[in-house]
Amino acid sequence: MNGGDWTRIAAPVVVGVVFLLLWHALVSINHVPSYIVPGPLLVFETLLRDWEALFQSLLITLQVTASALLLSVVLGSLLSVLFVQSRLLESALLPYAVILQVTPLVAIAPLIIIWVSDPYDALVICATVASIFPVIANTTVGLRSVDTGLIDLFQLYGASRTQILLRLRVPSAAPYFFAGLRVATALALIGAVVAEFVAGTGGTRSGLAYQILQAGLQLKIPRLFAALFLITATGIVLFLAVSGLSRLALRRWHESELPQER
Amino acid sequence: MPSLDSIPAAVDIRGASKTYPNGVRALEPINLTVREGEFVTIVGPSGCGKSTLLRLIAGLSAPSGGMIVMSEGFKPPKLAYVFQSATLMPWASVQSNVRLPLDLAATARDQAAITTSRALERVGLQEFAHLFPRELSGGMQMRVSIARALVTEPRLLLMDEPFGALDEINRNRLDHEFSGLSARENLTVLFVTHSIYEAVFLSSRVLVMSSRPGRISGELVIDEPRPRSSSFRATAAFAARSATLSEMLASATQEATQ
Repeated sequence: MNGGDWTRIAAPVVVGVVFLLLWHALVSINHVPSYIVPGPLLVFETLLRDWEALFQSLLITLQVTASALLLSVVLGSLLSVLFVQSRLLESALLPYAVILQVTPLVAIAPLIIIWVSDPYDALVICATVASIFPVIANTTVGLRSVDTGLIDLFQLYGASRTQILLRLRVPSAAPYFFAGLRVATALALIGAVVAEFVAGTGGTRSGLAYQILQAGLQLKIPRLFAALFLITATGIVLFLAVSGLSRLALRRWHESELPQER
Repeated sequence: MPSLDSIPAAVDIRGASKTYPNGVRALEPINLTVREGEFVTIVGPSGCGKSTLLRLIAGLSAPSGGMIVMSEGFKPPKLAYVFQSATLMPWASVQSNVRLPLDLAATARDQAAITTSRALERVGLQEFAHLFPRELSGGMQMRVSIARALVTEPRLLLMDEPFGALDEINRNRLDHEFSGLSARENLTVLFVTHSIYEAVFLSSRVLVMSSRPGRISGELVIDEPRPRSSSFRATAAFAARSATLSEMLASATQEATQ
């Protein structure tokens, strides 16, 4: 590791530590009651004490997010492939994908929750609606962004449409797809949380949003903070996982994942 | 050269022309016969339709008029095309790039592996088979592109300013190597370039094209034995041919601007 790497890690850590110290200092100096703003230590204690319940909810939220992301990737990629095969299909369907994207999730979530009897399925559908668009948009652009010289080359050697799709369009689209996947990951988590908020009930399988709702109603603010912390941590871990996947797939050839050499 | 007529044609272009859908006339009707084993170079200003002509021959674009007759044994995959840029798949290793034409034709794996490594050997890249295009210099990328063209054992090579993006040192070296390779393997080559010196060095025949609309305005036969060594560049014959070609090209461009 050289100096640059250390700064890259140390700088945000220092900011984080300073923030925690300030938070702790302000709360204790001003005697802020814990039902308004709990100190960081109390939040940490609560996290450990309520770990079992919180962890169960974390797993549910994670499950909803992952299922939605998987659906978005599979359906989104398939739609993109269809769009690239036929302009007509694209112009017919893309506006509706856009409408789905620009309509706020909070506005459609209640309908979905009413229409779908199983609340868990409803949450997955909401999170999918929230996260599918960046996959479609990016992958479509990627599948079209093919070197025209390579298209000529493939045609010269009599490549079929399927060969051009699999050997040329799909690899060309990979960097675009992964960029879309990063956005979709964040949106899937947000979708999962927002939908659960709207549903207001988790039944037997309640996620982190339900924990926040309950903690808020019962004025268990430290627990609310602990759940919030878990959602953020989940988001960061998911984002890092997707970034790692992208690096693994692209590091040998694409500029976006090459080490900076200056 | 009367003896030329006895050599069978590889490509016979009979009045082929090209007008784009937007009305731009890229090529006036062209008549040109390329015979087996000839190294024909087309020089001309940018936009004179040189690349259009190659694309017509390759079948990547259809002529608007006239016809192009390809002799048996000179059609794809026995026809290969080397583009202006290396046009490699950045996500695939050198080896996979070179093997692509065989993969597309579903050639058996072990056969493809043998042919691929032989093609890499012919351009001196066997040690670089597992590198990725971005790890190679521009000159080496171009060699990969040539190896890919050679992998189907073509008899006709269409080359569209293949060394245009290289520095002069690299270009001269590749010209030298390619002169040897094409003569050794008796390849029929149709080569496009901006460079008078490259044209004189490589060709058995040079065609001058003028622009707007593109047409062939002159022909220069270079009856020096091939392959040629780098010392050919220092001979009086080379200088004289370059001067002639330069004049022909100048009058061709003048016509176009009048």
